[in-house]
Order: sequence, then structure tokens, then C-alpha cells
Amino acid sequence: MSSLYAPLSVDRLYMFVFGPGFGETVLLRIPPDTWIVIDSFRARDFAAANLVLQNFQANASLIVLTHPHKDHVLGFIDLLENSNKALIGALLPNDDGVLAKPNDGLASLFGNDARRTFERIYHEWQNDSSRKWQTCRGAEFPVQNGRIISLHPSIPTTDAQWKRRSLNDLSSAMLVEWHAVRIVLGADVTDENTSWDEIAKSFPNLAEHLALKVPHHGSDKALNDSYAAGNRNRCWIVTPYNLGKKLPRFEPSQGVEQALTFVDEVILTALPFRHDSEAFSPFSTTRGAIDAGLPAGSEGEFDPMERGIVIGFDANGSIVERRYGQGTLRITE
Amino acid sequence: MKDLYDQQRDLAQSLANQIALLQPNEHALVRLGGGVGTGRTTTLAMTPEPIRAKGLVPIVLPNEQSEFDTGASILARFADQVPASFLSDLDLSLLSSAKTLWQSKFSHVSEFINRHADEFVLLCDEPHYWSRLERTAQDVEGSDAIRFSDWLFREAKCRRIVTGDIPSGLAYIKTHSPKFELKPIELLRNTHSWGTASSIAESISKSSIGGIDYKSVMEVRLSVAIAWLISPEVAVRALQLSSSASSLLTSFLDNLEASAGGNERYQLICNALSRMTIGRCRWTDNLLQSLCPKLSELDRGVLVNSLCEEWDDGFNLHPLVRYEILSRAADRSSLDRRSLWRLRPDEHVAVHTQLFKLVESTNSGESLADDLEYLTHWSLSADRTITPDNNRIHFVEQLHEIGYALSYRHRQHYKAVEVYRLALGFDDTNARSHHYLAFNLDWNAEEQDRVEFHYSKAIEYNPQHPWYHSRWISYLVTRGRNKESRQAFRSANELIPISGNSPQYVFMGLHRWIARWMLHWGELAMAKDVLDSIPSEHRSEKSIQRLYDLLAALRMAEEGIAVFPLSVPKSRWWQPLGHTGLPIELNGKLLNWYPARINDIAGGVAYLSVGKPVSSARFGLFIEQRELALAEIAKVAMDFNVEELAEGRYLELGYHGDMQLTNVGLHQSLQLDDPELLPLVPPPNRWYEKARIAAWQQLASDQS
Repeated sequence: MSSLYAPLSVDRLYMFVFGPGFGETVLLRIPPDTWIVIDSFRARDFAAANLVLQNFQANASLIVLTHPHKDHVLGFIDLLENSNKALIGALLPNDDGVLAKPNDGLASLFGNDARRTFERIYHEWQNDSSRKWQTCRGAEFPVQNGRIISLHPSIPTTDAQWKRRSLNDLSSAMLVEWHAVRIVLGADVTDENTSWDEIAKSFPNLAEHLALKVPHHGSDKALNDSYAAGNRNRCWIVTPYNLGKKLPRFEPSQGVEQALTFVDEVILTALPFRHDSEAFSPFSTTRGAIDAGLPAGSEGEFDPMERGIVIGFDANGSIVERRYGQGTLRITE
Repeated sequence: MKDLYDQQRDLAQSLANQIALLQPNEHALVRLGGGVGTGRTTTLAMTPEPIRAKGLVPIVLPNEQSEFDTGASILARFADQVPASFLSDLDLSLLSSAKTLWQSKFSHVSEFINRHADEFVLLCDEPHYWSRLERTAQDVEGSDAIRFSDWLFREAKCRRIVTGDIPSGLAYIKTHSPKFELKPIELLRNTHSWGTASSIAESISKSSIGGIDYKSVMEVRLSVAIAWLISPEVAVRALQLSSSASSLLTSFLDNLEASAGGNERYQLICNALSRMTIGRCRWTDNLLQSLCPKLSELDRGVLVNSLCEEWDDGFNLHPLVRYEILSRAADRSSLDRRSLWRLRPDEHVAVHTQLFKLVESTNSGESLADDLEYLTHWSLSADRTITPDNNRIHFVEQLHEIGYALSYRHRQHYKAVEVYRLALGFDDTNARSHHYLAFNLDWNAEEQDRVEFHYSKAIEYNPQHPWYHSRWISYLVTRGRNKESRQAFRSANELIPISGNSPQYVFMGLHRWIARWMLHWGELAMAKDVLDSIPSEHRSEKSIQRLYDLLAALRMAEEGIAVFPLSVPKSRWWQPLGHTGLPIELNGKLLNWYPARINDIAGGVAYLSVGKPVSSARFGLFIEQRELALAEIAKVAMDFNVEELAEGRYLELGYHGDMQLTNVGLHQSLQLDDPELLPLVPPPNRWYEKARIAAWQQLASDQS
């Protein structure tokens, strides 16, 4: 058992961020025992968050699906079933266009699951309206000594938004406030549709945070001064996306270099490709070294439940604990 | 020598003599043996007269194919033949009341027969057909027709004469196998027997046919059909080589299917044969002309004289022919074959409309069998509201048949709901009514509480029916109730004994369907558990193998390493020529090809996952990532423009060596279109669509 799963201090807020390469899930433990889960992926055929909750013998009070993309939705139903008293946060789509992709393996697998997940969420909301939490801008979930606020999207959304090629800009970024702690969970919100500028009109001080789950896997189009321009000591965590052109990118002027203009260090739960330093926890390196090409080809199998980072905060607004799973990275310029 | 007709009359007389000598008890059973087409049915049809001459009452139960209401039909046909003098002891109102359960009606009839065991003789023609079709075997719980035949063979006290197979191990007094002094050559030469096909029959008769004296009437008839379809020479050879009427029939139908490809005449023949499988009444030449106006006189003559049984009042397809056609129409492994024999909904309506005209003139209550046909054809002949004629409804099973047709053939699920609700009004413990009411409500994605109530009631009343469990579990997983679906599957496995000795239909009806739905919804671990719980000796079936293929494809998708579209099943991945028409060589040099998936396109670059066959690797391939400029692809693209490329499209990359890209092919089809995979019905997104619309209406209402 890695240190990720060691016992938690009762008076600290903990943020768990997992991202093995494809898929991400974030968990918050707010003292004394409030657990919140945001998004889902599957590990060992189980919802990853369920494995964490099981480890800490915990039940979630709130579970949120930020948007129905394939790297956020898989296993969410199992999460719902495991947390049958939890408030359910989501926004239901009003057009199927967002889920209608070619019927290839990938799209059919995730598109079908997303539809079924939304139907299940609707069903649960109908069964018990007290479990309904529409994650539209300004919606709040109170916790002891704090709250969770949904930053995005504003409603009503339009058919055109849901039909748009990118669903990322309908995803629900969150702000977590607890005593003096402020955490921004960026979901997959990008700046392509000036979403962050729009969010900043309602929440002007987002840059004042201790930790950030960097939006949209650290892509260059997700970075925005509204939340980025601030203290260089902030803890920024990126989950990778190992398909397509792979995120984050490490070339000059791409996402990681841009991020490192705002903070001294970016933490990755994993690289979006295999590398032969995955056994370290964490592996400290530089953006330039990665861009130059880390030796590739490690054949070792790593547990996706190790590709996570746990940050502990105290009530005074300090990061007092960091736990790194195997394969995580700390990257400086 | 006596002609065939006289010989059959003699045999009928002999049967009557034999049966009259027996004392009525459970052993008073005589079997008329012989192969298919040896004249058993015709002989049996001649038997009532000599039986009556002996002071006994003959009741003929015909060779009906299995349908949902076959049990009801048998009882109706029995009741219709009971002489008036016995009706004080047989309650026809009880038989005709829909509110009386089939079992009660059956008890009433069987007790009545046994009370008069010394007076009645049941003449049962091929009762094994009553439950022969696979569809019924899977779908009907302990079919009523099977209950009737069980009683008939094991418990009935009256005298019985049976043709065809009977359950082994049963005592019967004597088996008669017709051995007529038949001269098949004479049969062929008898132009009167062949109508418009007489010249074809005659052309065969002129050949020297070795062993023809040992052929049955049906073999001779089928040889005429083959001569008509192909040539007299082929027909003669087929007749010489045939071992049975069944093998000749298979050969004829196979050749007919092959001839129908692109040939309208033969397509019409297939279509006509399919139309003739509907209904129980006798057909006439006028009816056939009316329903199949494009058939030539010759073609009609061949169909009637070669493939039908003829009666005084008309003809109908020989039961073996009908069985074969219905089996081919249900054949999921060959869509081409299936489409040839399956009627479109409007064709079904046309046939039912015509058949309705035949029974329309009958008076209600005069004949239970006609009444049974009346409502079926009336309901299915046009778009009618279900307002039943209470004078004509007699059996819940009949409503099942109507509901089934409305649901499956006409896709009128709201009307099907009405029919099954009506059926439940008559018998609220009928598992089948509960199940199909739930299924049709489920299809409409409405009344969730009722859907669940009726699905669970069906299982409660018949816990061993694989379909009832599989539909319930499929419903649960469709609604995203994973935990319950897993529990329900475990429960089904406990209720239905699962072992290597279990019948195949259990796995085909339960495991195969559940796995299909689990795969659709991305529940891969559960799908694997379900498939793996099929005993290994039952896994070789093609459709099960294809589910394993799909599981592998989706596992790869889950891991982001899919490089073949679902339209190419795993078993065909590495065929030498690829799938997109890539050349296998260029300038005399062999090319390599690799499958690839486009993961993204950005900045003029296609980001690809590329697969290479590596037998030791998981899924049998190794995946690497490549980036190809769209301009580079455009230079070597085969029959596509790079504008067609997008995330999720699949390519084949032709290389000389490993580095020189020579051709790129694009998979045009991405659809999972595999006839060996089960179709997903009801539509998977039905509940989602309802929820999505409702959710947004609610939101709009909240905000207004």
C-alpha cells in the first residue's frame, strides 16, 4: 500500500487527484468526514473513486459529473450506486449531438455509457429531488466551515452550445472554500469560447488559490490570466490525456511552458506517454528534458491507482502535506 | 395392382380394425409410421369413415406448426368436431370464455375425453410439429401444445392413432409403416396429378431413374420442383442420390435461394411461399392468385403440386416445407437468406386481410377454430383499434399471438400494451402476459413502475424462463442499475440450473443477450463474467464467439488502443489484403500494411495509433503512436480526400519497409453491422431520450 492511502489527519482538508493517462477523478475530504468526488474513470474494472472511498471506509456526500466526455464518465454509475445517499451534481444535455459520434469502438463505448449515466442521474433526481444539484454557475454545496461553488456554465444553456464541437466549455469548474483554503478545480473548461473571462466576471479573485486542478489537461487553450496570474508557489496539478496529440504538451510556447510562467512547478499525475522513470514517486525533472525526449519503452505495468497526488491543507491556508504516487512528476522549467 | 388411393383406403380400414380391437386405456395407441412424404397424412385423413362405421367417434387433430396459440387451436378443433349428441356433457361456453384459464379448459376437455374413452378415437397427425419451431421452444413456457401432447401420449384413455414421432419409451400396440405398392413412374406420368406442371413431370418420367421404386410420394413431388427450377437431368440425379424427402427439400430451397439473387421471378416464388406460411385455413388457387398476382400459372402449379398437401377444400404447405421456410426466415446467421423469406409488415397486413375475408363470413360461436382465426386476422389485417369482439375471444394465447405480431411485425407497441393488458384481465397469473406487457411498456419507455412490476411478476410465475430474466436484466442495465443487474444475473443463474448439460437455448436466451447489452453499455467486466459463465462446450456457437470479439474490441477502446473499426471483427483483422483495397505490392515489391486510428487532427497533423501484429502481445498487437502530416497522407490517399479524416476514423497504412508510406486506405464503414451479433431491441436510448426531453422541459419551466 503506497503512502497515498495512509491514514488522514482529522483536521486537514485533503485533495486527491488521480489521472493515469486516460481519465481523471478528484476527491476532497473536508473535515471532519465530508467526502466529495468529481468525475470518474475505471481502474481494475471498478470506479477509481470507489476504491479510494473503500480504503478510507468513507461515503461520499456529493458526487459530480462535470461533463460527459469519455475521460470523465466511465464508472460514474458505479460511483452513484456506491454513494446512494449523496447529492448528485450534473447538468443534463439538451441535445444528443454532443454524444453522437461515429460508431467506432471508442465513441460507442463512451457515448453509450454517457447516455446511460445521464439517464440514471435523471432517474435518481426524479426519485429523490433532494439529491439534485444542477452544477450551474453559482450553485453552492455547503460544508462545515466552507462551501463548494460551481463556476460554470451559466444557465440556461442553448441548443447551439450543446451541439458545439467542443463540450469542454460546458463543463463545470468548481471553487472549494474551507477556512482560509481556496482550491480551484478547472474541469475541462478552456478559453476557446472566452469561458474563463466569463467566469472571472462573477468570480474575480480565482487566482487567489492554494491549489489548482489545471483545466483541460494543461492545454495551452485552457490557460487564462483570470485564474493563473498569482503567487508562484501555488500548487498546480495536471492530469494527462494520452490520446490524440497528447496533453499536456511540453514544447516551447505550449501548455507546460505557459503554465511555468505562472508557477515555479507543475505536478503531473502521469505523463501522457510511457517513460522509464515511472517507478519514482515523484520523478523530478524539467520541461526541457521531457521535450528533448525522455527514454521511452518501459514495459512495466503500473497500477492506475498509484498515479495520483494527495495534498493536505490546514485551516490556516497552508499546504502541510504532499503525497505522490508512482509515476507522478514534478516539473520545473 | 390396386392404385395408391385404394391402397391407402385399405390401410385406413386396417387401422380402424386394429384400433377398434383395442380396449380403451393408456396403451390404446397405434402409430402410423413411415418416412416423411410416404402418405401418412393422406391415409389418416381416410380413417374417420371406417372408424365411424365401427360405431366410434373420430376426432382429427391436424399437423399444426407451433405457434403461441397452437394449444388453443387444438382444443378448438377438438370441440368443433364433437357431435351434438355429446354436447350436453361438454361445456362450450367454458371453452369459449376468455376468462377461463387454458389449463381449466384443457382439464375439462381431457376429462370429457376420458369419460367417453370407449367412444372417441383421436386421430393425431404429426403432433411433434406442435412444438417444433425453435422460437416457440425458447419463448413459450411449457407450451400448452406440449402439455396436450404429453397427455395424449402418456395419460389419455381413449383410443388414438398417431402419425410421425412419439416420445420414445411409450407403449403402443402396433406401428404401421405404409408400404404401398407405389409406382412413382406412374405417378409422374399421371398428367392429371400435376396440372400445369404435367409436362415437367413427364420429362422426368422419360429418364431411367435407378431406385425410383423406393422413393416416396414427396420425393417424387420435390423432384418435379427441382426439374422446374433447374432441369429434368438435375432432378433425376437428385432423386437418385437423395436419402430422404428432407434432403431433397433442402436442396430445392438452397437452389431457389441461389436463383433468387437478382431474379425477380424467383424472389416472387420465395415471397409466395412465405405468404403461405401464415394462417391455418386452407388455401385455394383463387386466394393464391389474389395474394401473388405476379406468379405465372406454371409457377403456381409447381408450388401447389410439389410443395403442398391437397385436401378436398383446398391445399396448404406441407408442414415440413412450412417449417423449413419459417426456420430460414428466422436465420440470423444469414441476412441475405433471412430477407428473402421475411415478409415486410405491409405484406403481412395484406395476407391477414385476405385471410380475414375467408373467415369473415363465419358466425361467431359456430366454430371455435374459425373464431380463433377471426380475431387474429382481424387484428392484424389493418391498423385497427383493439376493441375485441367478446363473442370471438376464447384464449389468452390468442391475444399473445396478436400482441406478438403487433409488437414484432408492426411495431405498434402502444396497441400491444392494450392487448397484453386485456390478456392479464383474463388471467393475471400468466407469466407470458406479464412479460410482454412489461416489454412493450419498456419499449415505450413509460410507466416505469409498471414495467418493473410486470417483469418481476413474469419471473415470479415462471422463474425458469431464460428470456424473462434476460429482458429484466437488460432493462436494469439499460437504466444504469448495475448493481441490481448483477444481482439479478446471479439470481437467474440460481433459478435456472446451469451446467454443461443444460440445453443450448438457456445460454442463447440468457447469457448471450445479457452479454450483448452489457457490451453495448460498456459494462465490460460484467459482460466477461456472463460470457465466461457459459460452459465451454457451449461457447463455440458463432454469435457467442462474436461477443467475445466485441468484448476484445471494446477492451481495446477502453485502453485507447483500438486500431480496427467495429465493422471488422477480430477474426478478420489480419486478412492478407487488408480491408480498404490497398495494393499488396508496388513495382513488384511486397507492401506491409498497418491498421491505424485517428485520435486527433490538429495543425495539419493527424495523430494516429498504429497497430502491428505481435502474437505475444495483449490482443495480439503492439500499438505505437505516429503523427502524419495531412499533406503527406493526401499524396498517397486511395479514393478519399483528407477532408474526410476526423477523430475516430480508421486507416490502413501501406508501407514499403517500415518507413516509406506508399498508400493510405480509409475504412468507409464504422458501423457495427454484424449479422452474427444480436440486434439491440428495444432501442437502447429510449429512456435516455425521454429523460433528456423531460429534463429540459422541466428546466425551461423552472426558469419561466
